[in-house]
Amino acid sequence: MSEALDIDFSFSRPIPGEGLTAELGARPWQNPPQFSTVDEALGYYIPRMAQEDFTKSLINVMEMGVPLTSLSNTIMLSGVMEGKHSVDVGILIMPSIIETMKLLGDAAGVEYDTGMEKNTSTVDNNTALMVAEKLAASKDDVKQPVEEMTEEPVTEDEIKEPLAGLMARRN
Amino acid sequence: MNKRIVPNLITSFDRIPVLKKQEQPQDTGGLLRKKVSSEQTTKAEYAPLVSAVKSYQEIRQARMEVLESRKNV
Repeated sequence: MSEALDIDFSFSRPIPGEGLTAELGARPWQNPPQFSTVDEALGYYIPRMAQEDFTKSLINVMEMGVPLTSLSNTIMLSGVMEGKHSVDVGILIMPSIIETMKLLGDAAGVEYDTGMEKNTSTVDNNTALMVAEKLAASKDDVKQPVEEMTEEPVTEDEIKEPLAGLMARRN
Repeated sequence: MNKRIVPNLITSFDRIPVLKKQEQPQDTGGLLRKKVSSEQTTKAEYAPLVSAVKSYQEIRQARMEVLESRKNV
């Protein structure tokens, strides 16, 4: 049921093949990455994460209850899009990024959701509930005029209409 | 992307014992300066993973120290 609700029915999606409209090599991720090793990539991320501005905004996001796994995923994918590193390197550095965020959170004394627990679908369930309620409300709105239309009286003449045709059963 | 990749990766990283620096073997000094073995090629293959685990363990160690210092205060 929840999987069915996750499907996005909106039309605000890229057109199939839209990703191939740019010339090959025009996008940053189509070129060789800037940092090819794990150490180089971490050398890019960790000093930036230790900056005061980033730490402040990170703590605010942590207090909002956003899972650290989602945050690290977003950070990693943005790095891939900017051509900083490959997806493989990005996946390898993600535990270190999460650990750095945990370190910053612990140093600030903030409680955070790591996203590591198996039952981390509280946000998803709430979203699913909202969607289900909206669907139920919209169904009620649609049903009302239909019910009014079915209340028309049916006369006996319409029911006892004589059958016609070659295949009709004759009494 | 599968949301369980990162938790599974962290679980695997946690299971790995603390990696220490291995001493490099001395040069033989003979004609064969660099001995290439199958072990070395395997090490080269797993080098990114090893460096990722090492950096993860270092950051984790730093976090544990921060937590301990907070407990002591």
